[in-house]
Amino acid sequence: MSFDYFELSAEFDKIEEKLGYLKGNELAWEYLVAARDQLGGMAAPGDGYMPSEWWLEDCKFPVPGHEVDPTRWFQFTFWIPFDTIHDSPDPSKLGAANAKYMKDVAAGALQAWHNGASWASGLASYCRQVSDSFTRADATAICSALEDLHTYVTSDFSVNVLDDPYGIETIRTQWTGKSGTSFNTFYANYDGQIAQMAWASVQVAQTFAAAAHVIHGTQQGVLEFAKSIVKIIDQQLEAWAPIGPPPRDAPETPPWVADVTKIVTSGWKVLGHVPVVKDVKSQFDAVISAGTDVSNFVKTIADVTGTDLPTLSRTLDAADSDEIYKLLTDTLYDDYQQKYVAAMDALQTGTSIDPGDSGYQPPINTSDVLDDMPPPWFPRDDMPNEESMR
Amino acid sequence: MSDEIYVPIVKIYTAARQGIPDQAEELALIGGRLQSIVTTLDVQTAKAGDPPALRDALTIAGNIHDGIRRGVTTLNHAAFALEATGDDYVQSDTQARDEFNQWHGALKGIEPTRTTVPGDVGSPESPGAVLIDPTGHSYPHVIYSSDYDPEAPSEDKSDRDETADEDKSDLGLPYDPTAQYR
Repeated sequence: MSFDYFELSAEFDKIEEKLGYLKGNELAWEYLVAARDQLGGMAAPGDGYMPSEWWLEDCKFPVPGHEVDPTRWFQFTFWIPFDTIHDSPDPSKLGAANAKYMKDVAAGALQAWHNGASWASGLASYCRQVSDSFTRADATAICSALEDLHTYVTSDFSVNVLDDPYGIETIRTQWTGKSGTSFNTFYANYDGQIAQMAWASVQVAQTFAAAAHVIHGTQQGVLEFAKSIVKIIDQQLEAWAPIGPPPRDAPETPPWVADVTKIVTSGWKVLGHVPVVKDVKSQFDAVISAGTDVSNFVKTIADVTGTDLPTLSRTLDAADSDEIYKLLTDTLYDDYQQKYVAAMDALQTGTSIDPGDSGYQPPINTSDVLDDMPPPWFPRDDMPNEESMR
Repeated sequence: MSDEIYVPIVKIYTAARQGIPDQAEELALIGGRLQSIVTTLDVQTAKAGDPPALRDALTIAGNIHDGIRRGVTTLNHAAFALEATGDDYVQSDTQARDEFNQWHGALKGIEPTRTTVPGDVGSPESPGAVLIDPTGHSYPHVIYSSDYDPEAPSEDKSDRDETADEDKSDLGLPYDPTAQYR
């Protein structure tokens, strides 16, 4: 299954929207509690006070599909001194002030609820930014290019050297003397350089094959993770509806978090290391064979898919939006992005990425490959050049 | 010079006029294919955040492509060098001249061709990627590097908490009508 960036992006949008609702419920509830507590609570502030009880009315948290009506949980008590009631020329005005307060509280709770969206605003963008490095690349496009690299470059280098439709090999073996020796030397060096280039192209293929596996594995894991977070938020919104109060329990379903390191190393072990070919010129078949192995591995990368991938155990201790937000962003950053970077960087340094298997080395060390490579391959001093033509 | 000739002069001219140019054409074709592959890998490397290992691999791929370009040039030179050697033999060696005069093949009257050297692949290892429309009808398409070092969650949380505090402060609580009694 190929990765669909827009599917993931849509899941991030859902997370921002729904987590905003959840946060909104919590902020509105907090607001109502603060507004009620501001009045002094159930106990009279002293002797000579009379309580005036008001129930919250016309206040709903407008979560689409999960509307919350908290009114039955909020009774407000206004403590008014007897003297004030007695001395008031119009005691009904005291009631009007209380009614205004209740109206303001209902409006304030709605505003507090909308502040949930303000808090969540930009969360999808942040998630896209954190996952930018491993979600934009197309592993399928890389794999397709690598198959072309093997067929039309590595293998065709071999054809270029080994095919001899015009009898150049005959000239090389039969032509003696100074010119004949020069001609033979030229071709020996030409073939050697082409063989080196074919070998180098296998190293390029090996690097990109290892990287395509990292990209594909991380992408598969992140989509499942994002979907599991949406489910968790849905569960919590469900737990709020329809009358509050806030849910006390954490979601029953744990988040699904891929073990990126294990996915990567298990694939890399299948890819293996590029075999040592001491003399690529005389072992062109070994070069092609190594290229074929990489090409065969590339064909299997797309098979790594679904929820059968190795996972990490992650739990939620609380049920609120902050906890879910922390789980979302920390996991996305620590368990996906940073592990993706560690795996990609390891392809240059050759260092292990699995603390439990420190002896295992990644399938390539591009730093060493670059150091060992002596470009440019052409021209060589002993080959004909522009000067020698004049 | 005659003691040097152990292959027919026709074979030398055939190699100079067809064998080596064909080989150069094949090599140039490989270069063209590689150029297209490198472009794909360059774009995907940019989208993958330009990891150092992939940029190393693109450096190697770019070197291979440069090698192909120089290899084509070298084969072009080799064909002309071999043609010149054949001409020397025909001028100076009786047997070579006789063979040449008796030769009636299609290649006899032509000169070695120079294979067009594939275009420069540039620096694919540089950050980002640029797709150039070969027809020149549209502007180059720039692919920027993905964010390999994004902001840590603690920074995002800090911004978010700040927003929440400001919103809460702006909203405040309604005026408490009982405050005046206390």
